[in-house]
Amino acid sequence: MKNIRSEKTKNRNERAYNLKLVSIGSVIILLVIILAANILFDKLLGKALTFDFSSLGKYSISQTTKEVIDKIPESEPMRIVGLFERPTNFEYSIYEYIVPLIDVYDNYAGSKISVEYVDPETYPSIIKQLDPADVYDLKSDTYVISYGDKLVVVDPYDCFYWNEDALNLNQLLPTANMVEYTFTNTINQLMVEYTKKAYFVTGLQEDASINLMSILSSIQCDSAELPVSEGFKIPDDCDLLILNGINADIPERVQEEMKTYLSKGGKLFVAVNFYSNASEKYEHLNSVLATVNISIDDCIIQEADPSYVLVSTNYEAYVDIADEFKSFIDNASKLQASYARPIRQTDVLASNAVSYPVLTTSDNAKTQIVKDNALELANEGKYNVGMYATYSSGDIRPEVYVFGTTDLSSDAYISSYGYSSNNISFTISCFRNMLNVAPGEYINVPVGQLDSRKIDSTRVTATSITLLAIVFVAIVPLLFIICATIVYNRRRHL
Amino acid sequence: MFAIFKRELLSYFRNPTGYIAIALFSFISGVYFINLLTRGAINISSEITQMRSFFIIIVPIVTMGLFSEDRRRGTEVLYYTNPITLFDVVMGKFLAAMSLFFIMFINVFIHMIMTKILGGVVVTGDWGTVIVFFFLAALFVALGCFASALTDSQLISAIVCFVFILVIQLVSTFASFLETGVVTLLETFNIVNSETANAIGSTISDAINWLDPFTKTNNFRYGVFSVIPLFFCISIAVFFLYLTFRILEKKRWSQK
Amino acid sequence: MIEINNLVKHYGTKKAVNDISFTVNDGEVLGFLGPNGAGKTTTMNIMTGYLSSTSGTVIVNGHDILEEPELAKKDIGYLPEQPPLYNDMTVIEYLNFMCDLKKVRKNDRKSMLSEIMDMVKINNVSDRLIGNLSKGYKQRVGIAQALVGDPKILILDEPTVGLDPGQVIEIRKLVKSLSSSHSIVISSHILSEIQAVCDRVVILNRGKVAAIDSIDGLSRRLSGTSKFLLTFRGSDSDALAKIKMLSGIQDATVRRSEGEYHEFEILVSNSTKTDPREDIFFVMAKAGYPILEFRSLDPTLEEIFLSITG
Repeated sequence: MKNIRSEKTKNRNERAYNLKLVSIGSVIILLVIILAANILFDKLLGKALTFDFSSLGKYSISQTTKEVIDKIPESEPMRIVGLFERPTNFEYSIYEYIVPLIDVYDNYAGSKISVEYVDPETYPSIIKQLDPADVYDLKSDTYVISYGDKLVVVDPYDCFYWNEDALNLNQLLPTANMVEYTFTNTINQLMVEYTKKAYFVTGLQEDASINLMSILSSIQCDSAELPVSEGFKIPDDCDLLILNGINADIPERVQEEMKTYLSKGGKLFVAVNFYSNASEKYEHLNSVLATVNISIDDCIIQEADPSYVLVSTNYEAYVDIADEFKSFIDNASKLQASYARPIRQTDVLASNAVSYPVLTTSDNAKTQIVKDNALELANEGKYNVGMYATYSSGDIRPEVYVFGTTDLSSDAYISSYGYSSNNISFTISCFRNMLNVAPGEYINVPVGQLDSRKIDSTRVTATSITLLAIVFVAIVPLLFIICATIVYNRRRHL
Repeated sequence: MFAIFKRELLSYFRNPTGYIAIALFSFISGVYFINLLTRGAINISSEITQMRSFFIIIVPIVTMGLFSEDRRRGTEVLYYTNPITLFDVVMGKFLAAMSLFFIMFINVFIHMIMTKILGGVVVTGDWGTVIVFFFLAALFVALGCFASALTDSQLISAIVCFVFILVIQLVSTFASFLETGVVTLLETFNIVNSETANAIGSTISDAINWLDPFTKTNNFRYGVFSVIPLFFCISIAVFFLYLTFRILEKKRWSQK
Repeated sequence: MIEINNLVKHYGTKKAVNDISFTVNDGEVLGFLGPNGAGKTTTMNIMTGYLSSTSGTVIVNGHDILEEPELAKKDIGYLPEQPPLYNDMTVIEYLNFMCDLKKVRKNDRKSMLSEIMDMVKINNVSDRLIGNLSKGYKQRVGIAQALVGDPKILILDEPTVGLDPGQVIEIRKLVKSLSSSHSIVISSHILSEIQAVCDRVVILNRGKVAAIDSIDGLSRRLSGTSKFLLTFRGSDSDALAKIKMLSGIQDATVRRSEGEYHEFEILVSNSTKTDPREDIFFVMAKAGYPILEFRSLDPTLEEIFLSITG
């Protein structure tokens, strides 16, 4: 055996063999070195050798954010999940401001924050994993930040303020970049323990309330759903009952439970509108509200005062904040309300309750009622769009806010106008008042900048575009093609 | 090295090749530039990023003849029998191809100046994409050199180079396919629970994506510069140049 | 000048060059003679550093081609069988590139190139595209390329192959004129060519050196006889008898016959003082057989090997 091998070695011509060995060996060694060096560099120096030279520093996180991240305990990491495939080309999209910034969070936080992008269409299991109780109705194209058993949904569009005029033109133009503000505050709020719990009554064809849940979590209030099933029972830990954007009346059996809830000093928030449920009279709900002297009418308010009107159909208009509630919001005395139902005091007053207007129309608003499938003009006058009620005396003080519009709490409104719009600030104040919690701890994170790549429109006329197009797309390439032909022909005949 | 560099660079302009590559680049970048112009906002880095997807056409044109032609017409003997090293040859040719890319890129510089003239902005991130462009070009040109050294047919080397670049451009797609595949497989056969399956899937796709030079260098355009991705590109380029050098060297001792 | 020791080159299991050793002396023209596939080109490729040998050494002016390639290659100008020409360059562009490659100093360049172009007579085509030149000119450009940098040694692999007779003579003249200032190694599979230009000859067969000898020595070895081909019209048996009777004729055989036309192969002993060709002419004239063709036949390489080894 040994003999054969030595024989073989002898026969093999040594020099070529050695050269081959050197050749293949060196290639392998180089490959290993390159891989090792890259992996090592990546792991050890990746952070140190990354520099944010962006002119606006929009991919650096502020000191405040760093402090918030530092607060996250190592033992309980936070999870940021983008419910979409990580975009690779964010050209002209808001992801340009979000995705790289979230990476910076990730880089800074190390193991404290994990960032993933999971498309629920590919992995439906992610939804169940993040939200096992199916409270949040998680949708694609949002970020979910989960921490322990808490969870907040951040819609990328809510990280910006938008030019509202442009919204109508269907041309989205962000006017402020609140990405870092939103994420840092959300992270910060997630670390605060919930002290209150709100229940959203479901099963009434209600609209989604994800954004409202986020708002509640910002004031340390947890959210849960409460379906109007058989044996409907308002739990004892319920600090606030919410009927947000319901489109159907509550069933009769729920009625008594809610009356009892109120009589024991429960807090209730109701928001309905006329738009999607014109025929609904809310008889059972009204019978509950009657215990605090409030009734929802089944007609629609049409504003007539031109200084109030927002849209020419007159269904979208400003509403005044009643004097008692002006303190709920600084520097604004009007809110917006659309397709509103009037909220009024009941005709027969309960002696122990007292109700106040919260939002009112102008003096010359009108109402329209549905008759024979058409709207018919009813009375003229001043209407309430929102009312507040409580008991006039005693230790038990239920509190009820009823709004005839969903513009103060709907996801649709919040998505369009943002958390810091006047309407939403007002709603937050209502919640805070009822729940008696300190103002949500919004920390001051510098507002990010937006790139403006705009060119001077006076210099870019149709003519100049045509001219440049001819030069860059036609003349320059053609010149080179001509050069190629000339060179080819001249040299060919040399 | 300079002798080879000079000859190869001039050779681009003695043949139609160089002019055609430049014309192609001018045309495509021009179309993008005008497209941006009509939108009223010029983001020059998006033009450059778009140009990267044309590496797949331009790189093979530029590199296909570098080594394969020498083999075909028998001029490679000059590199072995003259007092230069094969390393000089590889570097000279590589640098010549890179120079051609630089010349093509003058188009973009002109577009940048044009943007300024039109009142637009050129931000740090745009220079980031310029840097990335050249590092990626280096990577792909090195790849092209390697493909060219493999064969004596320009066509074959162009196809090989095309396929190489295609593969690299599809790395991220491939990674996500593989991820989905693995996760589905693991979940269907209940080998592990879905959480573990997802974790395995994402680990695999992360590992493959780690090789993707495009993803790695994405943040440059936002002004976030990192040395690591550049080092990655350069080291891959060095590897392929070394491989090219070894292929030339092999000719010497090969017994076939 | 060049020392070649125990050169071996394997291709797979085949030994293209099998233990070759010889020296190229200063100022001599060494011929490489051998049939196709004898290992001439491989040996030359190894001598110039194009290929690396499986074993054995090539030492050029004291520098090993593998260990000090740059120094060794400086002294060598090589014209491979297929001239390494860029068809897309003009002659002058190409020669300038060669100057770059051989690191010729800028100042010397102009005079060197004009000297070379004079020497190989390509002045008139200096601005023409190499791809458009005739084969002969291409060969000359190839030689010019080998001359750039003023190497002491020229290695020319089959420089006359594929050229027309006029061009062959030109190239031979050129080699002769170069031999005064250079050591030249030239390969060929044609004996007469080697005899025409070389001082010494290395005969290769199947990768081995069959013989190394001076041209005179080689002639002596081949001197026994020379061979002629005679074509005429007439009676073959009569002519054969008449020719055989002449002095100095060793043998005459009929190679081919077609009716009245015959081809004879005549073996002549070189020891006779008179040229038997004259006698043959007169004999044939007298007999009234017109000579259609009468020329000397080169011995085939096989015959040479036979005569050398035999």
